[in-house]
Amino acid sequence: MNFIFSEETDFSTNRVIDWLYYYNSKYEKFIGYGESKDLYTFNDKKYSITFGGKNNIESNSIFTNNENVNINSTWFRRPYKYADHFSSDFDYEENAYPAGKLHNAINSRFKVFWDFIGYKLEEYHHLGSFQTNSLNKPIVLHEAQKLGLIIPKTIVTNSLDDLHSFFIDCNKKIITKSIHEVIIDHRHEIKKDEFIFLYQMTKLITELDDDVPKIFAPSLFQEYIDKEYEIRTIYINGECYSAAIFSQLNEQTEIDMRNRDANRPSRYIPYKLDDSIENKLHKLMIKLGLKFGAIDLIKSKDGEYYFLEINPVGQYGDVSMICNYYLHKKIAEYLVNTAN
Amino acid sequence: MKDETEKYKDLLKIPEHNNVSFDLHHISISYQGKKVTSDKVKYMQKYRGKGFILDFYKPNSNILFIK
Repeated sequence: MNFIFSEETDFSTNRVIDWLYYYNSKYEKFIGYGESKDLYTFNDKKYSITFGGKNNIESNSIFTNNENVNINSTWFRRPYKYADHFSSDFDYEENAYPAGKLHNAINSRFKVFWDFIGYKLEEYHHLGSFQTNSLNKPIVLHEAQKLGLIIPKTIVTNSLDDLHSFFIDCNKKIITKSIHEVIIDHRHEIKKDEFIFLYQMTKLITELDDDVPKIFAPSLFQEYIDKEYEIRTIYINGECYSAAIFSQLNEQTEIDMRNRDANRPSRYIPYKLDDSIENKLHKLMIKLGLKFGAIDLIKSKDGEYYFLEINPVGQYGDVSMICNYYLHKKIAEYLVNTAN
Repeated sequence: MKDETEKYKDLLKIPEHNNVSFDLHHISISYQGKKVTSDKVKYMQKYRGKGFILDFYKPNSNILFIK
């Protein structure tokens, strides 16, 4: 049995599942709380994980319909740790314990349970990490720099004065992006059945408005790098699969390639990074304890490779499909073949 | 999506506060138009909440069950 921790609508997961079917390998997909009637429910299984005592005899067992589930491998594609099925199923009665407090208690207990299950499953053959589904951007940038990768000039600050000095130092062209993940996008109704859509991208700053407060929450800024092209590298268990993306040719994708232009998609070509860069990325992934990651780099007009960031649960379908890397097949083979 | 932040920025604001990071004041806004009620969208929405494996990009996809 291959366990997959993911989301309801992650197309890459489904492509891998297609290949698992092809290899006649069973799978079970777990998706998170809030995603309605998922394919996994806690109550249809029996879990027992035994350990300790003088002889320290350890045993793990998961039963479905009285059948022991033989764990082959686990893919922590996009793990969600708060699979609480109680709140959505339970109708509160008048004399029930306050819903908020009960919900909080149940949720925190589930988190411990899921963390423990994830910790145990990482003892088996696995790809991805249950613990690491987001990274600390400034720490990753620091670690990348320590390993010899070039990173853009960066400042984390809460001071407008210091930001202003940095802005001047970077020739009045800087970018601002979230220090963590982007804010969850939002559809806002402006008239009946008419909407605006709010979402976060990397933004270019070419002037600092007068109305910016002197102090704001600590934020991340980087110098703007004039790019020749972008490189997206999908790292899977020691191998790098890269694509050069000519996002700078379209104004809409120039600053952030995620702002895709449906009528004029960016051109991708398969790309081989220099061995020295690949070796440094490999060392960085080992340092971060990751076997999978979507890594963003820039090849600048001055000929340098700039490391930007790693998404440990990033999308890779575009790179796989356009560059013919067959990454879904490779991931399925990695899960099926426990010897690798 | 076409970035129309300048045009719509007054319709929904991130509050000004010392604990709000700089980047949050630079989120993008696009006009999304009227609610789409085409048959295709209705078909997709029918399966969205039901927990089936969703994949509408491939004709012979692994949708397990269709009512």
